[in-house]
Amino acid sequence: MMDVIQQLREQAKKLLEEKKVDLVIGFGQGTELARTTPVFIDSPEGVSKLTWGPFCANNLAKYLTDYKNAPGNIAVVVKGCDSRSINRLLDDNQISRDKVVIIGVPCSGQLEWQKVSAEIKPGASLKEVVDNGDSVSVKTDAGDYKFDKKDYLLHRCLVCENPNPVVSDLTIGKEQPVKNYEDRFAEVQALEQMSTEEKNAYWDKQFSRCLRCYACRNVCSVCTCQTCVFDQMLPMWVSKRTNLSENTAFHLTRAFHVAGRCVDCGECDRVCPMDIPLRKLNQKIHKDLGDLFESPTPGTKPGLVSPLGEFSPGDPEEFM
Amino acid sequence: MLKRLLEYVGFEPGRFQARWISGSEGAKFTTTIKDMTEKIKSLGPNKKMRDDIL
Amino acid sequence: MSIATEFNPIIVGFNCNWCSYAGADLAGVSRMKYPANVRVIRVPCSGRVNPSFVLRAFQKGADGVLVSG
Repeated sequence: MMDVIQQLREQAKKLLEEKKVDLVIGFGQGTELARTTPVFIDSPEGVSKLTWGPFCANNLAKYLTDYKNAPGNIAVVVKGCDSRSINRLLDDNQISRDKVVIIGVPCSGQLEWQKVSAEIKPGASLKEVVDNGDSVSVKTDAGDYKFDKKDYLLHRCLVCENPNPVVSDLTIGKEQPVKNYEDRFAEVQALEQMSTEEKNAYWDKQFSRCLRCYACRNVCSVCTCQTCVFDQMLPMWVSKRTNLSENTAFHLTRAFHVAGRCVDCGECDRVCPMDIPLRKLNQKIHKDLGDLFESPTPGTKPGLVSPLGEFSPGDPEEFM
Repeated sequence: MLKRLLEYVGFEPGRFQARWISGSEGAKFTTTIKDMTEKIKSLGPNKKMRDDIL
Repeated sequence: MSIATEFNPIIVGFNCNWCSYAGADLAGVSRMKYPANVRVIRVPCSGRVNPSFVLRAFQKGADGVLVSG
């Protein structure tokens, strides 16, 4: 892990010194070891801020859209899942390939801080986290811990399709094997099996918690509309009230808006302050797209066309 | 796709339907409406997502 | 006094101007009978129907939604 950080810094430094890029977007250390924050580095001296570890969950591809019209080139650090966003943004003509340098970092899964902190002594601060492959050693000021990595990963990492970036200019670190710890759609299937009443009760419980903070939208790498319909005042297409009915409408509209474009990076689910399982909505759409149109996860290949964006005579016709 | 998503979040199947009816298919239109009215009568009023504040 | 009334569902029908709206018109001129529960909304094309229209219809009290084109 240390040499990944070392190489990352060297490469970023080189890119900035040679003026190949004007900005490097990467992961930086936050207020504590388990918190990382996006860093924006514009000088070679700043590269020491870059870091890498098992707590780099953010999808930094999102920030590229903020620099869409900025002059100069940008380098961005991406994991496998984030690199799907890059493909998707390229296909949507949101970014141009020649202005972006993609630094890919193969990833063996990101830990969920909540799960880890539940294990260690309350109030203890992390000193060091070492990834040993299948297990993780955590050193804190209140003792050392070692646990099975599988139980502490973010859920999206348990069903990871692309541990290695699908598109990158330089890759740092060694390739990671694809480990599907569990069936990708197991949770969706379980929900599908429920009766209408059970589904109703389940989703009403989830949606009624929503605060309409729009974190799920803001973090989404394929939400690139300049004015979101949920912010628009004139005309006000959708109500801004927070109640079960409106929340349900919001979440269904959001999920359907990214249908066929969602790269399944799972960020919406991770950032939700109310822990609404948003990814189950998106995954349902992924599953249906796969079942009906045999389409792969968007972004896994460059130039993939969404099945919802084109017609082919072989499309299933459930509405005849 | 939307139909599947709605059923996934707890709408009864049949509440939302999409049909392909051409301009020359008046009879198909009437049978579609008849079938759907029957279907929804048997399902009862929709409770999901009702905005009762209005 | 209570009046026992049969449940009369409200079905919102989004009908394409060129297909099923014409179909509904044909049904009308041919004097075919169909239940009056459907509230027809004419749209320029069924592609005009945004998923949020459907959601909004349900929110505002529709018991069923039919999109036909």
